[in-house]
Parts: sequence; structure tokens; C-alpha cells
Amino acid sequence: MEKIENKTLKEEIYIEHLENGLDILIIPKKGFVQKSVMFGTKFGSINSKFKVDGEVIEVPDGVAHFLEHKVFEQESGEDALMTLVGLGANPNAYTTSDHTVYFFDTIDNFDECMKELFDFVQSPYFTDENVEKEQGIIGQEIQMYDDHDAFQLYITLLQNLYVKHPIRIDTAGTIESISHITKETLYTCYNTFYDISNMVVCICGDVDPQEIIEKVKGYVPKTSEKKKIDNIFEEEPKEINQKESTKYMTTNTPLFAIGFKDNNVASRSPKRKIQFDIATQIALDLLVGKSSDLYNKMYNENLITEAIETSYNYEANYGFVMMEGYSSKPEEVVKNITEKLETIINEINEKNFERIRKNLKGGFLFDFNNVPKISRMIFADYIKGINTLDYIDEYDNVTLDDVKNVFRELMNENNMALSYIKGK
Amino acid sequence: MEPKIINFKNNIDIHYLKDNKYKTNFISVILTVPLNRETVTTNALIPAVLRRGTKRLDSMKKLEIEMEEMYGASLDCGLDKAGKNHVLKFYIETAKDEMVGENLFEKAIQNISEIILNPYLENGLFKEEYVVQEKKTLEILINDKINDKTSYARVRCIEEMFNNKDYGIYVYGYTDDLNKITNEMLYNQYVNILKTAKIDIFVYTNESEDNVKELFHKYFSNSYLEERKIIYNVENCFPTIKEKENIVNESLDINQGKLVIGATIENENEFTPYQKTIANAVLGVGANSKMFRYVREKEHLAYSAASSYIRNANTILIFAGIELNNYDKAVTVIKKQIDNMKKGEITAKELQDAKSVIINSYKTLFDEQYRIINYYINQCLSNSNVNIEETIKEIENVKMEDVIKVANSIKIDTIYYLKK
Repeated sequence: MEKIENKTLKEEIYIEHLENGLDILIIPKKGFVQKSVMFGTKFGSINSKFKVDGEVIEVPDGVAHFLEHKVFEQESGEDALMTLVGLGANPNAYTTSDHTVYFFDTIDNFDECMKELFDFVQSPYFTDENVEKEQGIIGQEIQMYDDHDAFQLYITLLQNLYVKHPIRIDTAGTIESISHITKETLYTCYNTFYDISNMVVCICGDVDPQEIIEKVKGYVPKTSEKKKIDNIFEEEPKEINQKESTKYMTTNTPLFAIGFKDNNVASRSPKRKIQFDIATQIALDLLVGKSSDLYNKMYNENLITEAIETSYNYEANYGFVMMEGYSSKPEEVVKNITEKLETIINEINEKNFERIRKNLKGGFLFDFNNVPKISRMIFADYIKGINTLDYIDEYDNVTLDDVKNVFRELMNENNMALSYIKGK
Repeated sequence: MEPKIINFKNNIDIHYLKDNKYKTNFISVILTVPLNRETVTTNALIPAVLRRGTKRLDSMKKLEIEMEEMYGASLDCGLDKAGKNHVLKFYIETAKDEMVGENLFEKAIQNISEIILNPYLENGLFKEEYVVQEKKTLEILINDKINDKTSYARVRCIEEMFNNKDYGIYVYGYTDDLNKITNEMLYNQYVNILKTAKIDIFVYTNESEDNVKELFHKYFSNSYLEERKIIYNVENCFPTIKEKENIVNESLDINQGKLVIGATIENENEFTPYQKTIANAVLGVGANSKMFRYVREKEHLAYSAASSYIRNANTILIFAGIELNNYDKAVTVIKKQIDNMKKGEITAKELQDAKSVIINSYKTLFDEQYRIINYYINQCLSNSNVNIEETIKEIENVKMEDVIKVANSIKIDTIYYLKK
């Protein structure tokens, strides 16, 4: 068992690699009553083409998410979600671009919940009938997002940034794509990606690491064939797909999003990835954060009425920056920001940089107050090869030059795309 | 766990919770005033203008810089409704002093006190420029209520149920009234709030009680707080009486229909809030509820299908996002779930699962600083003083016959449908 500790943060992670290939992460949190257990696979919405045992397989968009819905259904007719609710737990599941995870957070009946979670995820039961039923429910989920302005903004921006990469496709797929999913598709994906060697367990709460690892061992097979899975991606051009787009919906104030495509994620080491992430967050705060000149100017002119949301997302082979918000004059906001990008490198100084760094470092502490949040965050970082606890020390290693480099390398005109949502 | 209530001064209480397991300190100040059409818009504007600057830090930019220097402290304000009351909320969250080696706790109390009590003034009034800008911002916020179709449908259903009065008043106010507000009126209402609001301070910290008291004595003062007479509405409110079900259809260009059924509980005094909570949970909270199992899983009518109980408004709000042509079927299926409950068609397991969902959500409060404070804020606003452990016990004691009785008192008031 490996132990990673961060003394500033006063947190530790224990990691165990089992012989069958399963990785177990434990984050003890003394004094908290909830325990969060996550059991997931490295299978997400972008993994729709892969090679296993020499055979190339292509599946419809949205299959990872569809599978997530169906794994709960059991041969006995019971729905595992309901069984866990009955035990007093808060169970759920979600699919991201690179993983699918099943989890529960509970205070009572911890052992029974563990047994149920490991049981249901490892005993699939797909039929033509239950697949057809799910097409209806997921169809409603897709339509719900069709009316969701912020989601439409996000997905159209990704479609503008990316030409080939499947991150441009909605996690749920489309009503058309999911109509091609059959129980055979589900079994193929399940047998490939839900092999224990491709899975990860993450547990957070007031637990004893050694004891809990022994428990997990009792719920999983001792050995695995350890299939070699190669995910296949078409080569993504460096260029963006389309400069801008406007979508018309029933909405009052228009929405804008500015995106930058990061072409260099795969070439960075894990430490550099963390530093680049921190430098990008600092750059974004210096550019449009609440203490920036630009934000205050636009707020005083009523161009914007609330904070511009900024984020930098990265996984193994893609990364992008997004700035989004509402404005009655979205083009003017975009113009203000792009003009600022031309001069900002010369305007930022050590003093502003230090303050924003302090701000972000403190904000990171807030994330360690909540057991379910901690397990979600550590799980997601682990899938992309990152140790979350490393962040706290890397805040001190990032320099003003790193921030300037973000403006030069990433936030430049060539990597930029825009998306607008406007009222019909 | 429950807060120690310290009478701070002039009818202002500090609700003090001490714990060392979080990395942050959390402070919330709540001002509660009557909710009515005449003052709602002015009240909504006040926190927004206060947030613009204090006597010491006279612009939003300076305030933000202060928060950044305080290791990313978060200072914000918000609005809420509790029955017939309008609630103005201010809060600040900071890293604990020992985590960063600086005295952030004192600064937090100083800043939240100054935001509420020492605004930036020019000639005895709020700065004109800030007022003009915040009016515009509020106007946009009010007009944006249609952006999120799900919450819009809920708001509209509540407006219909309460006929735009009491709980049916929109929390951010009305654009028509915004133009009538002068700077003088705004400042007078601000003073009026300081003199008459029910003021409660919630502090969740690892700092000592003495330190908390001392710091609030140092910073939380203003001459308007000296003579206070509290005015707010203790009683709950009820939907306006209608002869028959109020059917409301509205059209927007959307892809999914949003169905909201608003119901009221008749003879509400015969039941405890716990019995009503569980009756609502059997109907629509969690994956074992009737809404989830029948509307979603059996009939495949919706992805979201749930209901919520609004205690101070004696209301149950049932929601389903449905395919546009499924309105009749969805209404029929949902009504059938309520009828089945009335007939006593509730299994022991359904009751047990409803209880465990609710009990679990109460137990998790012990792990979340923000939610535990909100729980006690809600207790305080419901004029109730029941701690979490007691609430859990009360929920455990709810019996099948109680739930059936509550179900028989559920009366559909309004069926609101947002369609294409």
C-alpha cells in the first residue's frame, strides 16, 4: 500500500494496486459521518472506437452513458438504485468523457451497501425489452438538454473547437444514435471495459485503509485476463473547426462563450499538466476575474451582470479553456476580451499574480470540506494520471512566466472559437 | 448538534456552532422582513447595492481584491422567501486561520458587518451610479427568469397558486416597480430594514464563543440597530381558494414540455411537518418514490419526475419534464399516484424507503457546514427549535396511517403546463 501525504493540506491518500489490475484509492476523513464509495471504469463518451484482442470495434455515440443507465437493472427484476436507497444510501452514477462511475454516499449499512454496489456493477443483465425502455427515458434526458441554454452553449463551442475528436459529441449521444444500441452492443462494451483490470475504486470517509482494502478484495475476482484495450482516435487537426456559431433558442439575455483549444496536453508530464492548469486559472482570473479592470469596466457599463464563468478542462488527449456568460450585447463583450488579450501580457505584474495565486490556493482548501466532493475529484484526477494532492504544492511552483506562456501558447487567435445563444 | 443561541443585542441572536473538522469558517447573516408587492423590488435591490462597496472599500473591485488577499474568501448575498417573508441573506466563508497562518476570521466578521451596516454613501444616500447600474442588473435578472424553463415553470405555477400574492410574489420583484424606486426610497427602506428586520447571525467555526462575541461587538454596530422593533410574519401562507382545478397552459418554443402540478394540504394543522414531509417523499422524493417508479420507470413518461414539499407555504409541487404530446397521459398517471395514496395503496417498503431517503438527507447535514447552517436558518424562520436528532426521531415515528391521512388532504390547486 502506497501512502501519499500532503502536510499543508493535512490530507492523505492510500493507493493499492491489486493483482487483478484493480486500483483502490482511500482518503480517510476523521470525524465525518458520511462514507463515499465509487466504483468505476475507464470508459467514457469519447471511447466509441477501440481495438481489443486484435479486433477493431465501433459503437454508436452515447453507449457509455446508455450502459451506465442499464447496469443498475438486475436479473431478479430489482433495480440496484432502489436497493441502495432502501439501505439508506444516496446512490447514483455518471458518465464523463473518459470514465463511468457508480457510487453511493452513506452513513448507515456501509457493508451491505458495499456488497450491493460491487454486486450489481459486476452482474449485467441486458434484454431487448429493457434496452428499448431505456431509449425512451434517455430520449427525454436528451430533450431536456435540448432546452438547456447553458448546455447548448457548451456543446456548440466544443463543436466549433474540434473537428474530429469525440469530445464534440454530447455524452448522451443523440436520439438517432442511441436508437442503434442493442443488448449485444452493451454486452460487447461491458465485457471489454468493465473487466476488473480496467476499473478503479475510490473511498472517502472515516475508514481504516487496510481494513477497507481487505473488504474490497472480497468483492472482486482474484484474477483477470487483463485484456489490452486500445482506444482509437482519429487525428485531430491543430486548427479549430469553425470560428463561430449562433444558435437561436427561447431565451431572454443572449449567452456567449469563448473557447481556446489546447493542442499540447499530451506532451506535458503530470506535474506540468498541474502547473499548466494552475497557470491557466490564474491567467483567466487576471483577464476577466472579479478584481480585473476588464470585468469591472464591463460590469459598470451593464455589459455583464454577473461573473464570467471560466474553466480549463483537460484529459489525456485534449484540453480547452472556456469563458462564458450572459450579456445583452454578447459581441461587445467578446470584442472587449479579445482586445484585452492583445495587451494583457504587458499589464500583469508580480503583485497581481501573487494575489490571484493566494486566492486560488485558498479556494482549493474549500474543496476538502465535503466527502462526496473529495472522492469525485480524486477519482477524476486519477483517471487522467494526476494526483490531486500535488496541486497544493504546485501553486507555489507556478511563475508569472508560466502565466504569460498560457496567453502566448494557448489563448491566442488561432486556437479561439466563439459560440452564441440568442433568443428566437 | 445544535447551535448555542447567544442574545447579542437588541433582538439580534448569534447562533453559534463549534466544530473543528472543516477547513473553513462560515458566517451567515439573515435579515427577515414581510414579503409584499410594495417592497419586494426595493428589498431585492438592497443587497445588490450593498455588495457594491463599503465605507472602507468603496468599490466592488476593492472588495474583490480584499477577498483575494484573504485566500479566496467568498462573500456574497442572496434572496429567499419563507412563507410570507422576504429573506435577505449575506454570507462569508474563509479558510481557517490555522490553515493559512493569518487572522482571516476577524477580517471575515469585519467585512460582512461592513457590507450590511457601513455601506458606501454619498450625501447620505447610496452612490447614484451604483443604484442605476444595479437597477439595470436586477431588471435583466427578472427578465431572465424564462431562461431556465424548469425553474420558470415552477415559479409560474406558484404565482398561479398564490395569485401573485404572499408566497406567489416573485423573489426578485417586478420590472414595473423598478423604475419607481428613487435613491431616497431605497435608502429609507434600507434603514427601515435595519430597524425592523428579524436579524439572525449564524457562525460555524472552530473559534471560541468569547472571540465570536467580542468580534461582533467590535464590528456589528450601527445607530439604527439601537432601537429595534421587529416586524415579520410568523404564520404560514396558503394558496388562494379556487372552486376547481386551475388549469394553466403557456407556450414557448421548447422541445420538452414542463408539467408542474401544485397541490395544497387541507386541514394542515392536523398534521405535523414530518408527516407531510414523508407523504411528499412517498409521492416524489428519490428513486423509490411513486413519481420515479411509475411516471419514469414504468410509463417512461419523463426523465425528471419528482415532487417537493414547501413547508411555509403548505404546498406540494410535482414536476415532470415530458414529451410534448404526453400531457394527458402524464396528468392521468400522476393523479393516479395521488389517488392510490389516498386509498392506502402504499407498501410498507415505500414508506420505509421514503423515511430512509429523508433521514439520510438529514444525517448528511452533519458533514456539511453550509447545509447545517441552512437547516437552522429554516428552523429559525419556521419559528421552530427542533434539532436534527429530534427531527430524525420524529420522521422515524411517522406511521402509515398518518401518511394516508395526509394524502387524503392533498388537493390539487393548479396544473401548469409549459408547452410548445
